[in-house]
Amino acid sequence: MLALVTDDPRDARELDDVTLARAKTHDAKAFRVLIETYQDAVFALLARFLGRHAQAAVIEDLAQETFVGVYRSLPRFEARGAAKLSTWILTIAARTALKERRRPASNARTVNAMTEPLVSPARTDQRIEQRAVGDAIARALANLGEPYRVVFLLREYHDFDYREIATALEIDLGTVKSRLARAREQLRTALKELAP
Amino acid sequence: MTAPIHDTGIPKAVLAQYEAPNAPAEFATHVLARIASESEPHGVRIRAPRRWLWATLGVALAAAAVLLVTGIRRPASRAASGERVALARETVDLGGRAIAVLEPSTSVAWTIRTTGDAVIEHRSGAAFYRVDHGGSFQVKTPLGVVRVAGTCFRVEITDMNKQVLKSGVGGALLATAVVVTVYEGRVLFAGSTGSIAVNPGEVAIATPGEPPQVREHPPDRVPTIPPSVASHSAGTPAPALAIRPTAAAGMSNSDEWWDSLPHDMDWDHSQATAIVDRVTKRLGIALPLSQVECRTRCCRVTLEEDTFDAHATDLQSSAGLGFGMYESHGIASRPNGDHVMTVCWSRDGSPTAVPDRAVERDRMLASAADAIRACGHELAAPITLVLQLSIDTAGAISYVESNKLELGNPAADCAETAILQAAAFAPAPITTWIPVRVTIGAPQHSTAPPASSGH
Repeated sequence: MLALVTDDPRDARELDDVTLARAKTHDAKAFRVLIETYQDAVFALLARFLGRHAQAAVIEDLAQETFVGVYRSLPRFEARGAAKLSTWILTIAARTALKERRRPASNARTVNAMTEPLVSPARTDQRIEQRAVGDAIARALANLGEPYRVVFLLREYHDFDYREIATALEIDLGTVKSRLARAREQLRTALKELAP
Repeated sequence: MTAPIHDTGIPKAVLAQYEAPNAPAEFATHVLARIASESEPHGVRIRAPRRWLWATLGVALAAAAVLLVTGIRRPASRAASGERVALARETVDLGGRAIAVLEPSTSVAWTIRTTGDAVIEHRSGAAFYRVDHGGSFQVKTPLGVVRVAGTCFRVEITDMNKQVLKSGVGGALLATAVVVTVYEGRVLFAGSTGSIAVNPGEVAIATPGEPPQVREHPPDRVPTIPPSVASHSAGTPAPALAIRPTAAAGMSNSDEWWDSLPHDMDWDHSQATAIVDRVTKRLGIALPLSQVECRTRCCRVTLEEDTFDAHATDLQSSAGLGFGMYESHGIASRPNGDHVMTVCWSRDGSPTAVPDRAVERDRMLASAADAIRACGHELAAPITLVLQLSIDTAGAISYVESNKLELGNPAADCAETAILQAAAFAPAPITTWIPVRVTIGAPQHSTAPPASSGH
């Protein structure tokens, strides 16, 4: 299965209050629902952050770490204002990913080519073209430094606003803007190169 | 999550062509299995007190017959009532009123009334209770009732109850006694034939038919702050910044704004010196005075990007160059990559309620020092536990990052628990992050910054 960006991620489904309340008490069934609600978004963030050469097992491992962290901290989660559970969970995922990449090389997980192709074997021209664009974006993101990449992903693929990114990554608002601008510029350049 | 992707110049449909895999089937099952495989009850284990902690008392109950471990039911972290029989040492949240650390084979049940009054039925085993604000708090034992009294207590949770028993104070009475050990604060211990107040450093023992009696804590067992930690936290205190950060009218990251500020030479120099000393002590960075400029009531510090990135949280929490991310200070980047942190302080004598997180961290580690040492007792070689604590505006720990899973050693888990249980952070205007670094199994404990250089 493939995850595409929805037309309006702000409408993405959030866990209902009752299930959230139950999950906060570590009700296993409720927490399962929570996982299933947000797992694809977490996978998408982690996969795009790690890049196309990341092993599926590595992505899943980090996704598991993310939800273990969510499980531990969920009793203290309190939605304030416009804060959403999805924002909070993706923040944990982003920090988990950054933390993983900061590990010493000797402890880092092996990152090799993915064992399974992401695309369907039935390739049409359109599909090939789509793949080329996706590859260009993937390469451009891979060439970005991780601090820039994660800002870009949170903003463009997960619709964090600037302040949410600043809070999630503990950086200043100005830094968010500058990193985002740089990432966007690199993306634009990469996409221009695709043009005939 | 407010604005869609309209300002990128890259259509969303284009971005969507960079596809990402969905979670595999049974992913949720894998996560739940992983959670279940970890022995600690994480859901309640890392909860920190919402405010300053009030009281700690250790109740060691040795009953003639230990209740069978049956009917184990995981309590809801905020339930109004619950019960728990511990198979291994674990921490439970007693309906938001207290934290109890249960030793193996300890059985407790609790009821928290809507008024906040808490009644704990301590059936067997040993537990430490850390009591938060609220109504009355009673621990009922077969030989008496322990009532928490007083208002303001500092918290220290250690394994002292075991030590008391081993020391002989209660050893002979193991089969039939209730031993109450108070570390901070004050409790009333009411038995069937009399009651008594128990103060810090005292141990009260009740036996069948006898009123509780107070004995002084064995001198060699009184919890103390290890010299290494004590010297770090108190012996060479970081210089206090003159005043608290606050918003400055018209504050900007621009050089034009900075140049418009008049000088106050005395204050400028003393504040800049304090910042340099503080950064040196807290972060282990040799910060040249030339990189710190102060004017009137604002200062700005220039740091290389790598230095800034490596110490971003500590610059805010420990060096005091933060608080009020969007109001009282700003960070700008120079073309060469240097970061300039600008902070303004109040000089009108009405400081905002901004705590010194570094001092609070030192206090927390000092409180946990004995427990941390005990955690590393059997380690063949030292290990270093690294935590990042997110402290919310209420002073509660809202998120914890830890390397304990990487360490894969129960001592790390033990030390993390000890640290988190000793946490007592004051409310602050914004969420802050506190780096904590502790070496376990070594003669000395260290705190952030890494390597403790310059300390």
